[in-house]
Amino acid sequence: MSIKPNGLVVAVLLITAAGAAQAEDGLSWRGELRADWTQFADTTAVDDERSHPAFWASGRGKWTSADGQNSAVLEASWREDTVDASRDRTELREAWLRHEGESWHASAGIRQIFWGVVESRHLVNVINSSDFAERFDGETRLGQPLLNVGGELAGGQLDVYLLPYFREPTQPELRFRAPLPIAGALTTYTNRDGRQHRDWAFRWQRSFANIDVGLTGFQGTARDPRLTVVCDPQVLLAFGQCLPIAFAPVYEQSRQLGLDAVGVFDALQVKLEALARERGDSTKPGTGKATNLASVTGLEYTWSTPFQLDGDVGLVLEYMLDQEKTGLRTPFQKDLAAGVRLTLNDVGSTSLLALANVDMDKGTRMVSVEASTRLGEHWRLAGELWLFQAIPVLDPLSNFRDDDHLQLSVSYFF
Amino acid sequence: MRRLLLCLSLLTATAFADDRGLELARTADQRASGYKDMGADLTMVLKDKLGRESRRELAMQVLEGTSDGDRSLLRFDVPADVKGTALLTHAHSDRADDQWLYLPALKRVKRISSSSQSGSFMGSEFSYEDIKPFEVEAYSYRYLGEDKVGAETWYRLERLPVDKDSGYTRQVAWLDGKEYRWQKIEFHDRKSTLLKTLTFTGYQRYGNQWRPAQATMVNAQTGKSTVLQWQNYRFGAGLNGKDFTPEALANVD
Repeated sequence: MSIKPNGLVVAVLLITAAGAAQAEDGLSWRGELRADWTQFADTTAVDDERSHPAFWASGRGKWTSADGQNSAVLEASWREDTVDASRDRTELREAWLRHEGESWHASAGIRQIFWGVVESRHLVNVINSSDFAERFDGETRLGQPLLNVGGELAGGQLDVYLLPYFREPTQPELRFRAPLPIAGALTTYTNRDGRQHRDWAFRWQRSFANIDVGLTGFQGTARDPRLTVVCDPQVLLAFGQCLPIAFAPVYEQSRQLGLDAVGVFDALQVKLEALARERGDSTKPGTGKATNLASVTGLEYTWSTPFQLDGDVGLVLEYMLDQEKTGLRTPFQKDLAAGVRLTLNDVGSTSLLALANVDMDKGTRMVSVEASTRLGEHWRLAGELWLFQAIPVLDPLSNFRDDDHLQLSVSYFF
Repeated sequence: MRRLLLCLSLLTATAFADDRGLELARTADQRASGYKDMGADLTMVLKDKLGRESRRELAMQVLEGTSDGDRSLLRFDVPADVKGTALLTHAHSDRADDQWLYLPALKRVKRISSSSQSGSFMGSEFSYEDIKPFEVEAYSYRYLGEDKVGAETWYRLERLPVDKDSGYTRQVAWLDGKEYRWQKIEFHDRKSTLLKTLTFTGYQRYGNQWRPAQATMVNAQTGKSTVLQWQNYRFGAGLNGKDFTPEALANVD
């Protein structure tokens, strides 16, 4: 086990710990230390370890000026996996400055921006690349360098983002793998500017009484690559046949428009995320443009304090459609996700979310149960169970068949 | 004819009593209004029936409504795992409140259904409806009489929640006759038995506003209690509607 975290990230963590000990006016701090134990049901062709212990730490500090107009944020995280080195990570999640004017604001630096309203898939969320190494479900994102200017417009708020640099999503190598290894060294960009392509994005959002609406746009490097098959050169030379040995990621240019909306009707929430995208690069021959649509439609119904229970029980139902068929980009062409959420109002703020995702075409099933509860003022216990069932060979999740697992974690918050 | 007269006189008696109750509630509301905006730091100490304690700390900001209801922002500091979480509420007297929750781990602002009025607030003996700013329209009233408390005279009134999702069928509330401040409230549950008693203490004057330093909620059925303390009251900081939008919520963290 080798621990060699990036110096800057360690500095942020140490400063956070010191800051949390003596809070000052205008400064706020928080942090988390966590130990994970992941127990897999099976070994795989590339991993004969069933137990994967890992350690994780994160810290965040924020400074706000006395008039509240200027602020600065630093947030970093560090992960050490005792088995899978591809899931070790030191990450500067946020490092940015913000100014708030009378009717406008601006920020610059590395940020995390979340867009969207549904749970099963984050379709319109495009600014940050997924960090699949830290969490295989893509819920953790890489910090994105950006410039942002925003202000009031048409009763809502408009934010415009300039993204001067693209960070490739990180891929784990032992578990939660793509069907073939991803050859990072063979990564190509269809645009000659590569990672330095200047991407643009915008979001306008407004609340109309019980309905929130967001309109988003993006032009630049697609956050999810097209995966092209790499053939074994010797087999190709000797027999003229392609034996696939790896995927080479191709980052195309994408133009997309997104809509997200949520309406609240008493205990019922109706949600929609929709995306129209045009991919490819007309400046390069053989990479014609393709336009397609994707959507997630959802319902969430919440019963408050049912059966004398001090808490809420929610039912979640979401339906995913995606016309994207090429490049193994997504497993969610036609999927239904159904689940139950339990939130207790107890001293430990106990919560549980059980979700089942069924592919309506292939019959693939993904089942997850996440639960957590607090102990005392600083500790939290959490557990996650993931089952992957009936996954066909040519599916983006085909290597997940042996990755059924239970993860238990203990966190100390400060 | 005599029966009709009797009915009529009963009706007028009830109507008269209702008017008196409503009038008192309005006076109490008017006296506690006109502050424009306020902020305070809150500490809650939760005690279970064995005396074990746990703490909650949060910062609160309220923007007083004009035609529409109040807007409030709660930012959680303790326990540490919810640090950075924030709850934005746009209260409405004519429809359900609008609520958004900011989840710091995902940097996500999430619209939430606000129907869980009767649910406990952070595991305390206060429910969400207990910590909401008082709105006259939320109840119908009946004047019940006067009580001598020490040297003071307190008015006793019955408050019947209008909202069908309320966890209470009936409340009995006391206002002091001098400054019309809520002093004590008894909450009766759906079975009409006494559930909780809330007492306010340590009232202090900030400009023309009286605010309590402490509120103690005791659950008569479980023996649990919660003491809520307010510190650092701030009035007229010049907050405006822009500080209370879902877009601004992410910047609270």
